[in-house]
Amino acid sequence: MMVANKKFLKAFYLLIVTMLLLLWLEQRSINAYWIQTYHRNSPLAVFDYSDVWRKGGDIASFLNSHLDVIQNEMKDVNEEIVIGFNDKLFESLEHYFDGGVKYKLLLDMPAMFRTDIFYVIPQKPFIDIVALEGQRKVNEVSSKDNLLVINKKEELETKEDSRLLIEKGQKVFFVGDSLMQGVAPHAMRILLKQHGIESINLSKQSTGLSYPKFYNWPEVAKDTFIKNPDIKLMVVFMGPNDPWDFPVARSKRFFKFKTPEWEGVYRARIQQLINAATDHGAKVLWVGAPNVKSDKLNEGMIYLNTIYLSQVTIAKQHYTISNDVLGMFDNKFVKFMQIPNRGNVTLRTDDGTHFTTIGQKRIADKIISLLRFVDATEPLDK
Amino acid sequence: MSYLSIEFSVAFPIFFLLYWILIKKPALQNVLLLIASYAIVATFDIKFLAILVTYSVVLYVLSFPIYYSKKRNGLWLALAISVAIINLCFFKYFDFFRVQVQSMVNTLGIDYAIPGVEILLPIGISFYTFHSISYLVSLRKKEISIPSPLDFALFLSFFPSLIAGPINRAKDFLPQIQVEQPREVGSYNKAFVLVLLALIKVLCLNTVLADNFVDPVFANPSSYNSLDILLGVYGYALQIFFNFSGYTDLVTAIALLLGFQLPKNFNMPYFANNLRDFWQRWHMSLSSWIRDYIYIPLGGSRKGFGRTQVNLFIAMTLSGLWHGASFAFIIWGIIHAIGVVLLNIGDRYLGRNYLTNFSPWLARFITFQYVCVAWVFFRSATLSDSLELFSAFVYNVTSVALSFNIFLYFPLLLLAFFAYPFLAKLPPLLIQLLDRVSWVYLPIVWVIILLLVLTTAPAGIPNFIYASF
Repeated sequence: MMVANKKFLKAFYLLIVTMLLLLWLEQRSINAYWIQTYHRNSPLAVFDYSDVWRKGGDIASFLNSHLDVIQNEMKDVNEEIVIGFNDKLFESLEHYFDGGVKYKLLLDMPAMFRTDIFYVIPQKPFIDIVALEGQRKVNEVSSKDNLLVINKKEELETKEDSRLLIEKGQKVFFVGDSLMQGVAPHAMRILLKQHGIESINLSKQSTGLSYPKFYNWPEVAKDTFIKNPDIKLMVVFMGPNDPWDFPVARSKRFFKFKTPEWEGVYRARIQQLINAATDHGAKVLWVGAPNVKSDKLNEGMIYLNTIYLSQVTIAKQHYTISNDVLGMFDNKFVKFMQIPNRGNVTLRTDDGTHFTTIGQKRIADKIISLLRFVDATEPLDK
Repeated sequence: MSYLSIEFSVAFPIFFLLYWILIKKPALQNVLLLIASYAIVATFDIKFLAILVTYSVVLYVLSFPIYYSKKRNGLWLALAISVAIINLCFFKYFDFFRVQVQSMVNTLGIDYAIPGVEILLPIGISFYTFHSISYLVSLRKKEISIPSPLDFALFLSFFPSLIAGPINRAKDFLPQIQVEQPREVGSYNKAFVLVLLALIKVLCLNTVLADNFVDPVFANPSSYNSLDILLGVYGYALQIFFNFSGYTDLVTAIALLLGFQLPKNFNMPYFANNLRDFWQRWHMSLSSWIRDYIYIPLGGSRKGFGRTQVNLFIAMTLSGLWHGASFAFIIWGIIHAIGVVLLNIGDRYLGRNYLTNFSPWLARFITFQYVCVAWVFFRSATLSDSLELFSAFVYNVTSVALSFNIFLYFPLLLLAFFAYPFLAKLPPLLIQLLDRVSWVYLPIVWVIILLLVLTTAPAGIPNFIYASF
């Protein structure tokens, strides 16, 4: 009896001391995680006044930065080897390799297994693209239902083809969170297989513009454009990680979501992201966030969309909504969409934010429908 | 709440202390465990808790006629199992069946859309359904008697094995709940080594493989070279093993610290000499469940060679379907079924373990390739996605540039394959070493080890793949 008692005390000692020491060492990751998850300062931040406490964070950071150096070096070596190999291989295969991608399907899928027949390319693909000359005032887009009004108006105004031009050899760059992670691969597949256009997809889950300490999109975009000057279009699709309070830079204070201060900083970050593209002569296509199931989050999405739209408009770039292809024509979330001859098709996953494969494909299709291809193997416009 | 989250790691030591303060009262410890288990279910969705509680009550009531009825207990058992299966099918397969019925409606040319109904998959339902079926069958066989309602509720919801198994058997696990003597905390060095393995497998290896190889290749196979695709597929085979066996290590450690023993779930699966062997090493608690509750009741191998193969086919296809409502999972099950049937035919006409006797390494290699082909279907979102991957693998030999440094990764894989038996011996060795360290200094040793692992791990909390099945 006594023995068993002692053993549990030893185990508890091991558990608690290990945990406390790890909290001390990993304090910076924990603080960052806490802000991102709960949108307020982590409980550990109260110890920040103490030098001894902060020392722990220094130790972990020291280890981290050294590991980063090693990892980056490994990455560079790997890249060099791959590039060297590709050059040799394709030099010797020049007669075979004609620059295009050879691609065939091994077999055609029976209709019942196919998912691609679930969606229909919109008949007027460009009706809701906003490519304005900056004449619309920012104030106009603050009310909730304006998005659709604007789109309708655009439909009437647009006479000529306002789709974004992509030429062979130019690249498309996909930016966003887990929403984009689902959508981008489908769009990339169509771009490559139907139009021979290559693309870069850096979308990463849990990212947005609210917590640059966790992931800094404007910086990432800037670097990507420097490395890939052939990118001519950046497609952005994000939102659900952002509608929260976020910390003021170099301070313990937080800007409250929807306050003018919050909006000012957020708009500046959108601008930085857009600038990363326009500075390199690339265009931006911003895809508005979809309605989501949680009421509170949905309110946030509606508000964010107004900011995206107005900021994109100011920058004379291009904005489109995602709700229409998901069967949502007002501010309410729906999970299913009735498609002719298909019945009710599930477009959203159980979490009420992400998409099913069919939902992802519909958005990817919409993005493609807003592009115009020159010198493509199968020209779209006829 | 994920068992890998910071919140859980802070809450657990507190729970641990409360739990062991009650060392003399196992019954009270059970109450505490039940509260914790229900609280964890509720952190996912309060509705999931309501479903679990209702399910537990209904099955508990049905236990009585199964146990006490003299003539009709078989009928009552059938009723109770039907309730369990219908409940599972409703939540797991409703939408799948809706889509199938809809396509029939369309084929008949009827213009009607079946309304979509929002049904969420309750956390752990696939696992507690299997727990309860083992309970019902054991009850009928009189291997166990009816437990107290609280003990039964805890058996179904015991939090370490609730989210993604291992699948507990009532006969083995209920006695662990019903103890009257005080429980003993298991070897904490063993528990910590298991936690370490879990962190290395899930936080580091699983994430690195997924982010760098598996997800990009499966998202867009056509833009990768055939060798990249091969690497992506091997990567997934390793990723799902690291993810699932890492999860199992973690919950086994948690159970151990609470004085419980969970069933073993993995035994070096990629070292299997053939597919039959693979299924005795991979997700062992599921394959033995399928064997005992589907394959054997169907007649097992007692009704002749042909019928045995049919039974195998049914059992393995159902095992595929259990993972989720999609053709991809069914095909995965069928591929494994075909493999095992072919193996049986080979055993019959060439002699048992022909290939293994010829060369065990070759047998292992071929088995691994076959398992990998099946994994492609398992991982792809749709069937056409998996066929696209195979197409790209065949056509992209020289037409698409290479993306990964195959000169590093393939030798590394080969090395891992041969080092596998040696690596498996390391954890027990580490436990022996740690047992020699005085308990006073143990936290220091562990902090250094864990800090190194956490530093190499990419940020973020990875998902447990099997939690969604």
